[in-house]
Amino acid sequence: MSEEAKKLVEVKHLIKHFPIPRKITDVLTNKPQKSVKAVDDVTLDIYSDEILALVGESGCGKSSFARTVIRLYDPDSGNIIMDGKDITKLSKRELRPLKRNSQMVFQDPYSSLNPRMMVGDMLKEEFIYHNICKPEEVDKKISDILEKVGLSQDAKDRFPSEFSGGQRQRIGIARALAVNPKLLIADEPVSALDISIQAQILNLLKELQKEYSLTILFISHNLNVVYYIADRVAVMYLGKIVELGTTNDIYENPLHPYTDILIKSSPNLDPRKREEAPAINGNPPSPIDIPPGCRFAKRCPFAMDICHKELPELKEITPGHTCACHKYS
Amino acid sequence: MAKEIIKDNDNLLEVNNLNVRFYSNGREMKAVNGVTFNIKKGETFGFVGESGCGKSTTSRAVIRLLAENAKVPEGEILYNGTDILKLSQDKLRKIRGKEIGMIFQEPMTALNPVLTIKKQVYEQFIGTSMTNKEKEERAIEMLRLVGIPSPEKRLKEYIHQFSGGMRQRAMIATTLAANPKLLIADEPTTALDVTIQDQIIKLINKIKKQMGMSVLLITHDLGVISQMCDRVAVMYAGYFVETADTLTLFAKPRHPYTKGLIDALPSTEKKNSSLMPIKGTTPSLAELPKGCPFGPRCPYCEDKCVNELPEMTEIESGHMVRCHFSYKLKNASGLISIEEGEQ
Ligand SMILES: Nc1ncnc2c1ncn2[C@@H]1O[C@H](COP(=O)(O)OP(=O)(O)OP(=O)(O)O)[C@@H](O)[C@H]1O
Ligand SMILES: Nc1ncnc2c1ncn2[C@@H]1O[C@H](COP(=O)(O)OP(=O)(O)OP(=O)(O)O)[C@@H](O)[C@H]1O
Ligand code: SF4
Ligand SMILES: [Mg+2]
Ligand SMILES: [Mg+2]
Repeated sequence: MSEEAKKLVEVKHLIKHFPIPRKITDVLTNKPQKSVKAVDDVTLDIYSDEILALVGESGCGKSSFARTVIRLYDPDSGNIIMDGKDITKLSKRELRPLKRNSQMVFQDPYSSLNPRMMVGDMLKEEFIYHNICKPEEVDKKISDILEKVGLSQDAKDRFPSEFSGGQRQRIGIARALAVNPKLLIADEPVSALDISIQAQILNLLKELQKEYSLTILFISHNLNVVYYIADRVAVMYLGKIVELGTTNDIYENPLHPYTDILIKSSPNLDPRKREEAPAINGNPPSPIDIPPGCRFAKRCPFAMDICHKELPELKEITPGHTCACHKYS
Repeated sequence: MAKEIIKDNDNLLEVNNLNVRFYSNGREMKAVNGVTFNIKKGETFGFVGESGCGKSTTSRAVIRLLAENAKVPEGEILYNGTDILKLSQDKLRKIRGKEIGMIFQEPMTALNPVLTIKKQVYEQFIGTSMTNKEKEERAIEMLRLVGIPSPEKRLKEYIHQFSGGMRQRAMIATTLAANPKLLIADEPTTALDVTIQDQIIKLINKIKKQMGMSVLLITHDLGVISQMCDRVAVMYAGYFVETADTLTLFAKPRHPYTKGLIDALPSTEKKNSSLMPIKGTTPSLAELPKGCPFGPRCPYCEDKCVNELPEMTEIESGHMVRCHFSYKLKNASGLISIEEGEQ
């Protein structure tokens, strides 16, 4: 990514915690309110026209981050600057005209579409709600978008249940692209799909990104998929970004011990390369009672004294490659 | 040659010409079609294929755990020489759980939420002459073997007190407590995180070695196959279309569908090229084509394929393919390359 690359989204010190409902006995005994620290001080830029992947294990806060960035969730603190405009504190009404700038595609193509609405009507609604075009142009727009995502024109008059999984995911992408967003957030868009269908969707996203200079935040836990699609990769662990770099940097020269372990844990496609021992033992700690120091320290093979005491800062180690680990201080 | 392998008395399980049909809404669905395979003692055999191709149905048929609307019109399932399809319910129960253990994808549904882990492990010992002390020792040993810390304490807990990875471990521990000779593992890691998946893969590999157990592994993930299996069968629309040892299958795929899966898979070598999706969709199991089931999507399809179902044919020792034109893939590239004579 060159120095002058334009920032489409700037996220600064973003925090999103979910309070855990307290039992009445806890309230009476004045036990402190606990919360899940889903996104805990994340600073991250997304450049125009890039595919940035966000990887990490279940529950580390990937979806919460994405949803907070587009204000589906209200942040506790921090700033979100979208295309030069600070949207952190905008009201629902002020947000509405900006909503079309960022659209989301979800993991499950089955539950994210309204089953009682024909595809054509669904798309029409998007065009009209967001004032994309004159009513007489809507039909043409629908045809264009269907073509863009590789669906046939008769899709207009069919219900989501009449499509295969991959086609349904295309419908979700068509709906998201209908409003010409600048940012597309794809939250595990291929995890539920078979290999042959996954390939269609990955190709499609890559083509669309090139052709329409879309910016994509691609969330996934599949490192092969991420390697294939992403320009840059951000690695998240327990609510924090621990490493960020170009895809090549991350895979060829992982700096954070967790990134290294994540890569080694992905099953190798070469059966001659089998290890006897797992890359790491144990589970990630709970996002509720987070110990001080580096969040990975308990599982980290390199942990030093300082790791259990002080939280490492994200630092640029080589140009464009940042990492939060005491090994590098 | 194929016949000879089948008679080999190293086989723990031999499945011959297994067919399974489902009946619903007046339609007959051909879910498993003429499936033949064997698993040797101490071997891990894998089924791989996309959603709905019949992997779970085939493995459930092996222990006769099929849905009510299923029928097995034809086939033979020899476990240590005994035909499971002909066993009385009583004898079947003795084999199920004791001789053949099964782990399912979602451990919550397989483990009982109102019983402690201890009780569930103990259930595996019913019918043995073990004393309570022996049972407890064995249960603790199993939990320790699967890597659950402080097993004495965890034994008294309930499944909801375990994390996802721990539940899958607990499930494996209860299944293995009975010391089964064959473990059927249906997508044992699909719902898990990569680091936990890695732990479970290594764990099953280790236990298999220690106990000399055989494993039937079901997955749609070629990476998991790569790391666990000695031999693999690729399934498509209820048919086995290719079987080979894992290395051969990955390096020299000879069925157009296997080759299609490999070309569609994002792997490190493909960063700058497009993936090649397999065109079209899977056929309905109620209306399978009369010829090759893959014909409608196959780039090599000719008249012969439309009219005639290809037989499973051994093209090289231990490498079987169901395709009229597999010779056309003789020089096809695989996921990995191997040297001449390696294997
Ligand atoms: N709406 C919510 N209310 C309360 N807790 C939530 C909410 N959404 C997420 N969480 C919690 O926040 C943490 C992060 O969840 P999130 O869904 O962001 O993770 P993720 O990285 O997307 O995981 P996955 O890979 O499983 O989708 C989890 O502990 C989750 O239980
Ligand atoms: N009880 C049933 N009644 C009717 N059809 C069924 C029944 N159970 C399974 N099927 C069908 O049989 C086929 C094979 O199903 P099976 O569960 O064996 O597939 P699978 O390969 O395990 O798929 P997955 O990877 O999605 O688990 C599917 O098309 C499925 O819809
Ligand atoms: S038999 Fe014909 S249609 Fe079937 S896989 Fe072979 S070439 Fe393709
Ligand atoms: Mg998520
Ligand atoms: Mg299944």
